[in-house]
Amino acid sequence: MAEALAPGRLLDTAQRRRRRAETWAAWGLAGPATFLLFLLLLGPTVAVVVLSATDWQLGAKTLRFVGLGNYAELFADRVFRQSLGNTLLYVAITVPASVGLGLGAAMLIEARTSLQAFYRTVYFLPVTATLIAMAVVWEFLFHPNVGLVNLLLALVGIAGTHWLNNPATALYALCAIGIWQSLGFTTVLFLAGLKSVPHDLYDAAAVDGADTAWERFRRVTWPMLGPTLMFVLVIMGIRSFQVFDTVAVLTAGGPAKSTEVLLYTMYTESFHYFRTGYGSAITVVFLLFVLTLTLIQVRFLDRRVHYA
Amino acid sequence: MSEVVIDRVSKSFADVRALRGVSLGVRDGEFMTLLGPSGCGKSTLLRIVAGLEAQTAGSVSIGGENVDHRVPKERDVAMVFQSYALYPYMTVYENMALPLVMRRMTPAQRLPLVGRFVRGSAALRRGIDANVREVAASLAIETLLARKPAQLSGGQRQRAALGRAMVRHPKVFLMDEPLSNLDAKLRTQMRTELADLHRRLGATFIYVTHDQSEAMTMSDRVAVMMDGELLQVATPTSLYNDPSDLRVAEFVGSPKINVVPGVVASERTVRALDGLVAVAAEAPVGTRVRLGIRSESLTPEGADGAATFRGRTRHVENLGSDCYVHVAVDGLDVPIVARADGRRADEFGIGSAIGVACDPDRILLFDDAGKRIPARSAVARLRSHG
Amino acid sequence: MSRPGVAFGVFRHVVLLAGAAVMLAPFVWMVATSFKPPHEIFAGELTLLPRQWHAVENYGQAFTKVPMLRYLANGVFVTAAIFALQILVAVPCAYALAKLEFRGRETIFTLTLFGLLIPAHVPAIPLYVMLWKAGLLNTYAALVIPFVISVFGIFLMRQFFKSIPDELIHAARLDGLSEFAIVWRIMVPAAMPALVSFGIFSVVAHWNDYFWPLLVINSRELAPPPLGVAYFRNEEAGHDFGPLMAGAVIVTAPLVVAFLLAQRRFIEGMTMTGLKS
Ligand SMILES: Nc1ncnc2c1ncn2[C@@H]1O[C@H](COP(=O)(O)OP(=O)(O)OP(=O)(O)O)[C@@H](O)[C@H]1O
Ligand SMILES: [Mg+2]
Repeated sequence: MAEALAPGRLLDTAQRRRRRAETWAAWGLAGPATFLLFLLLLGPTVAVVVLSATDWQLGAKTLRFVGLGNYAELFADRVFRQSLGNTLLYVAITVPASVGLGLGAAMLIEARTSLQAFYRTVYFLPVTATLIAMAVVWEFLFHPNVGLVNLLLALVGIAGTHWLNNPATALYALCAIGIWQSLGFTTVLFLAGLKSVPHDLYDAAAVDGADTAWERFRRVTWPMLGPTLMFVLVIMGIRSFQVFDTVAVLTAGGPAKSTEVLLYTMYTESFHYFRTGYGSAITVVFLLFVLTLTLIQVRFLDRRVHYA
Repeated sequence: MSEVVIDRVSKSFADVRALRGVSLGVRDGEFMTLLGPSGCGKSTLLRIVAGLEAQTAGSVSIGGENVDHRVPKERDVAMVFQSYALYPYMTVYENMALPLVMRRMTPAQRLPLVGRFVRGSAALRRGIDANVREVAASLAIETLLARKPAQLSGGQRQRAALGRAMVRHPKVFLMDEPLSNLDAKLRTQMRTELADLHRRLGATFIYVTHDQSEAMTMSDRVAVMMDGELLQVATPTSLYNDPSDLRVAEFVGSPKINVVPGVVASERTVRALDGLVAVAAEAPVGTRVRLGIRSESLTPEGADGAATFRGRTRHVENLGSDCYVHVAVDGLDVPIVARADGRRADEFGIGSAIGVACDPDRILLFDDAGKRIPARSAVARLRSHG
Repeated sequence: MSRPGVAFGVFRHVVLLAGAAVMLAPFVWMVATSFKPPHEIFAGELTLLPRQWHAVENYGQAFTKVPMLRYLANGVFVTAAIFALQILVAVPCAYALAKLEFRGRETIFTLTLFGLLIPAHVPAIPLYVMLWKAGLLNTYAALVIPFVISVFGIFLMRQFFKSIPDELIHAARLDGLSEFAIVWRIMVPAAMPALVSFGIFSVVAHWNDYFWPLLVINSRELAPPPLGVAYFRNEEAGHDFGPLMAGAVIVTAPLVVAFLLAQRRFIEGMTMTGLKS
């Protein structure tokens, strides 16, 4: 063993120098991204949490730490409570609707071969379209007098309303736009999920006597689609929580705060009233909701790994 | 000069000791094969020589110079990989030209589009073009230069990979199982071509394989590795006839060498199974030994004769020219395999009693740990107990 | 095929076609309206084709009343700049994470995974403050800088690079390529499919983004298309629907046409958002 020391010592210099050069190369490649990751994403996220504990106003020279003061104020604020409620309602409507309709559409599309590609394309079209432009189109469709919606309703004798200007209907109108826009997204995800169900399973189920459409769905499709369903639900939850564009362009939170949602409240508080600390607190609340949804998914995926 | 000296090289991965102090000298212009079972560390050793992996201890020198501190491209070695590792989106031509482009042209001259306007780049490109075409011609792949790797057959890919290694005339060629992705017929053909190529280039080859027939047919010398250790380095002939370790004897040669346990009975005999075999072991009486007997040193004969071993015929493998008779012997788990002329194949009835005669001159003796015991001299005599 | 089979087939098409009609209605109505003169729009009739074609006037106004071409050019420039810089930053990092061994690799990767959890709106306030302090508000830089780092891009490319065999990289090292050259000459060409998917994802996201431009841009010259449409709509106060719809068509068309031309890639690229969360 003693004789092995000589080359070992050589190694100390030459090899270590080489290894250090490799580390330098690796950091040269990964360094810029790491720096920018801190500068543009992780740092600012920490900063938001810190700012949320201050009373800072954009441009102010001084700031004071107020601890959880902003949060106390938030939850005492009627507007914020309404904003949170509206957001949750928006999520509670948009998510089940787009997931349920998407699942139905995907199963119908997948059931037969004719026009499959056509349907997939048409349903996916709104996902690629610029939402702001389409929001303007929807505003026109919802126009009280000359909008397509009311014209069609008039055909069947229903008197429409000024959908986006009526506190009773505005949020639901935005939900409709949200569902329209994301239905293609869920449909395509479910189509992928359905494709991955092995066809043998349906044959096996048929041999075992599950041969009606309902039985096939209950015994094969639904259980096999479980993971996809969970995934789509969470994704849609996170997407819906981020509703902003349609509110900002079409209703500005109105009428009577009936479409005030989290991100829009955050936007007005931070960038109209310059209450940066307060706006940061709203951001943190928003982040907590999104993280909760993500954690649900991570937990669920972990469980699946255990079962597998 | 381009000899390669590997000095007490060890390599540990997190929890695996892949190499344990391997020392090996490869002479200038030699075809050296690293032979060993899967996972014994052959590829690791080759990658350390190439500089793709850093050893944990020990050193490597090429052409008399220590290269431990050099990155792969400074070592003047070329490597051919099992998967060929051709760049999939480049043509064969571009694949072969790349090593030259990277070495001869400045970064400015290499730039896409603008590079060709940098001074001197046209002349360099012409030189590279000439080299690529010359090598392609010598490998008979000129017509394939415009194709992408996906459009080539296995053998053609193999040649393209060789071409990429050859264009820059490296001192040392390193090959990691380059033939293992080819079908059996092509593999035999490529063996001859590689051996030819080695003679033509006169360069040093280090060739890795777990296929002993590849090692035996192409190499000047073979280094047998097992479990991260080098067992023996020798020419194919002496490796086969004079193995220093039972594991080497077992790994080299097909069918596998017969191993029979025995005890040194006297100065000139060893008791094996129920018989006495006339080999003179240089070991004290009573030492437990193992006899390695190749099948061609065994001859099947009648059960009544003066046979060394007796048993029953289990199976006859008829290869046409030869046949191998598997004989189940009491006291051995595996049958003894003896060779006979192919024309005798029908003589042996399955299940019938049979004797096996042994040429004691060609018995290899190993001690209990598998190390070779030299035989003093051997007299072809044989006594048997009823 | 049996009778219930036929019945189901009919049912399937009826339901799916009805759905398709709803999905397409806004597009159809948008295009139809962009061809109509004001008095036909305000007549409130359910007709697709105009009696009197007004397309030239409507589209003409969309280009002249607001700097629509400028908006489009801004959109092209900003999305292209973002994508180019994202590649420049993310690809080398992804390669190092996938193929090199160095101290800190696990840490960087863990941080990247953390980054994936954070929605783009969260760092908005501090980023705004940073840009403001740097005097960069209301510039192209303000539109581009926050998106230069794409954790999703790093993650995606790392996964892809992991599937490229090590032998290819070893061959490249022996051929004399530096790590930097390996990234751009070997890895990037081999990763083209993944880069295209990521490109679609990135371009769609930033062409359509409204939130961030709304925060940092307040001059028309710098507005990307969504912001431009919003300006247009606010000025028209929702009255002159013909040109407004023409504007919407112009802004929506590039991506919709691209989608129709390369559907499979688009769906792949866009559903990757799924992974993002
Ligand atoms: N990067 C690595 N990390 C951890 N262990 C490794 C690594 N590379 C190789 N090993 C281990 O080192 C040992 C030797 O591997 P090596 O690839 O050299 O074997 P080999 O002789 O080339 O086998 P084969 O004939 O299958 O290619 C094996 O046990 C292997 O598992
Ligand atoms: Mg190997």
